[in-house]
Amino acid sequence: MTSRAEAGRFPRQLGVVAIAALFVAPGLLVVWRAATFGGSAADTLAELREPALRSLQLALLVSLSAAILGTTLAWLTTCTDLPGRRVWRVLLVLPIALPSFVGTTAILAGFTPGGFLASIWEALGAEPPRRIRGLFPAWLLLTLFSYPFVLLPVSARLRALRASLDESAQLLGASAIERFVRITFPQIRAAIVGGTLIVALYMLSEFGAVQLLGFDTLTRVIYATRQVDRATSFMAAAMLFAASLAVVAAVRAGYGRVATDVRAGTGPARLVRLGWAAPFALLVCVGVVAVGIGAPLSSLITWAARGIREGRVSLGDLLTPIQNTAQVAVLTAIVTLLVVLPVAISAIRHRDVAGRAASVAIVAGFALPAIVIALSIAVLALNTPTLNRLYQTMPLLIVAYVVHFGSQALGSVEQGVRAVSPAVLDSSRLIEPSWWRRLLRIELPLMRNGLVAGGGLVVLAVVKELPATLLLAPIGFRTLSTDVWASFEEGFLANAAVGSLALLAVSGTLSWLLVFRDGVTRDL
Amino acid sequence: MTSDGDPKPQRSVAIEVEGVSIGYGQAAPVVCDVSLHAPAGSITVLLGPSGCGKTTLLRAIAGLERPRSGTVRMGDETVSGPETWVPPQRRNVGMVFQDPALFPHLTAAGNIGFGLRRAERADRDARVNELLELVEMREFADRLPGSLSGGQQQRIALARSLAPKPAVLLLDEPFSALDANLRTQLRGDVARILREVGVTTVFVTHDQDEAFVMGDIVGVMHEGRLRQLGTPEELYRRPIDRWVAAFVGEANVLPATATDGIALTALGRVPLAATEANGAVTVLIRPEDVAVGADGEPGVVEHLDFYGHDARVSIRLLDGTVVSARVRSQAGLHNGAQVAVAYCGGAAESWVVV
Repeated sequence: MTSRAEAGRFPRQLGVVAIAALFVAPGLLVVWRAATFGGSAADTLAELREPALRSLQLALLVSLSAAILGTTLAWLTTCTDLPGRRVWRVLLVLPIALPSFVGTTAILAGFTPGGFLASIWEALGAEPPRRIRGLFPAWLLLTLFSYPFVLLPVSARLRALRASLDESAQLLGASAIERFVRITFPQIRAAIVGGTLIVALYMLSEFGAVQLLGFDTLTRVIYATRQVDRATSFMAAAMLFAASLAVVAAVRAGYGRVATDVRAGTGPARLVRLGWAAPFALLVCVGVVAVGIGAPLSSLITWAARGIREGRVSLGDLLTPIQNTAQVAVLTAIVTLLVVLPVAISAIRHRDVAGRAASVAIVAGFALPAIVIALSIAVLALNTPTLNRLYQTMPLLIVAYVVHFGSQALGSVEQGVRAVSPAVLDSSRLIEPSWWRRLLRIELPLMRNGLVAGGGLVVLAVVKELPATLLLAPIGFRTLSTDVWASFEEGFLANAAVGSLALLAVSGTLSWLLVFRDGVTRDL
Repeated sequence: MTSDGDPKPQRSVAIEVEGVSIGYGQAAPVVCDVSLHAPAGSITVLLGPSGCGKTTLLRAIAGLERPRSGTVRMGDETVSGPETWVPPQRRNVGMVFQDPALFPHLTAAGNIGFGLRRAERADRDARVNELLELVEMREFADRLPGSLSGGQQQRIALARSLAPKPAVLLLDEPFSALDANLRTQLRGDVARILREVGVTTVFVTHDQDEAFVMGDIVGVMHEGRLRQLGTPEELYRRPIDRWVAAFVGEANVLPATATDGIALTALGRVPLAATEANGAVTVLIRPEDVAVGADGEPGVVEHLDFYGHDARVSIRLLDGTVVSARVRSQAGLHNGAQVAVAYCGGAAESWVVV
């Protein structure tokens, strides 16, 4: 028994190390290419200065505003007597299903002549804005599309706070504001910081929206120079990588030593009465939902309806992209699970160093912007003799997805692995000698929920992904997201709208099932 | 807020609850027309089964619930009434909850100092140390709550609530999450601390032992109403009805016929406290007032529980009545043993059967 376990250890660790290598390879390539930069580094750096500043500016501004907006809305919908707060709780998380490039496409399409938003402006007797470009619209739209990443964890934390903490503070003489600052805020700080970290990383890797809004960030530089000036691409990629690492490091430091109370609570105490402030709070909610969800959706629906009515789009055209998207997303989910599961087992069940190191590598894959991963993997494949045939094939696309989205599955898969307790493992060993039958009949059924959730999150992420798909998809392989992108670029607004709605239906359903059903329906 | 080394409150005030009802919406009130008086410096215990409204009443005294009707006065000040409402943070009330509710991000000392923030730093530190001393937690000053045991957390919670020298202290089942041994020890310590401080205290519990040990006055609550208010002795000896009698201790409640204050029961003749009683009555006989020996009514031992310091015997009498008795020694007692039982107490409580 012991000798067999010993014998199995080395190959398993080797496998886990190989997986870790896959996840760190793109990052290493970026660092190496930037370090061995051949040309005039000073010139390139000077060229990239402006885009780099814009990337940082956008990430900083959107993180800040999303943190404030997300926290405020979380507080309004969980701790106050905001009228209709249960409805708001659902409406306000909807943007999480809306990929930012789809939302931006919808807004831009809405303001083109004949669009729904333009017609509203005209009906109000105003001139519709002709050029929607630059920092302000990028900041506004991306804030409204990304605040739910803060809202969801903060709401969960607020709901978990025990009423007695707040009541104790109140009896010790603290006013409502003092209680928020001295008691509630320290308890939700980690949730705010965690959510804001995700927003910041998304903003650094944001491609679709900034491209559409002509806001020149590093991702746009990479996209533009990836074929003609690869050295510059890699320098920009290195800058993004460094910025992402800096954000993660800053957040780690910012967490500090905050002891939080993780015991489940009985829910917040009595709801705070908004009183005269209620109309203002309602106005904020209405505005956020109107611009973040109402405007994009109504624009998409009017364009889609018009296209179908006039016979310019046929729903049959969607069949291929839907099939392709489903195929690549499900394959990616399966491969991701196969890659992540051994790492999770290694890290949790065997607690070995290789497993824990590989977990860190997988999480780090998320910090690397998708476009950087795609660039690195494309270049790695092209420069490796036998692998160059893989460029712009499905396997390579899936590898890029796995590296970027492995972290999305890791948490759920770890939960799944934890669901099989050591006691169950031991007792199953006594009953069933064959390891594969144990796997099929005992372990996999117990892990099922975790694996399904992990796989589902990967499917959701793939469906919403744009830049890596643009760079790596096989020629002529249309997914929903590339279809929306291409249709809009070519001015086929109706096609773009129909594709967007199909994409939203898929991502909306998956988001509901996987991301916010529990948080929203509890005490509904 | 000065530190003069004196843990006593600035002033200890009486609590006057008058006709308080608490309820939500159309539902039946959780607390129904309760009136009680807690003298300054006393410990009043609210005792009752879960769901009887005792915690809700306590929260209303704190100001965490707003009564539908009635008034609450603290000393001369009306803090809650039809036209007055003093919010909890201005009531000068300390409260210890069932869960310690310590602020998890603050140290033990930080928690105790929370309510002292407007004091001078030196004064505050002195007061915090004084309280750490009082609850015997000096060496834990810099620990975070997460690293303290449940009992230690409750000590800090008590110190925190006493720090601003409240006029009134409220405790909501503070020991219920602790195991039995720790509970007994902490109960003794807290009783000593409260007497030392002399703060007017209202203490909520469902544990009859705890109520009797802690309370100067005990109010028994049932289904939202205050059934009886009295000293532990009064409640035990003179409960106003069968329900209270059974809730505050083990009780034999026997039907009987009374003649001029003497009841004829299955246990023989029992003198009644109501010396004028005549006719059909029910009589309360505590198990310790039942003697098991050679004389009295014959019966058969049906069940025996041995507790070490004493034992409890269930005896079936000839007419089928089962009575409980507490005995010091169980010599000669076993299931099926033939025994004789007699009443050996003083004047017993009885209620006229209606």
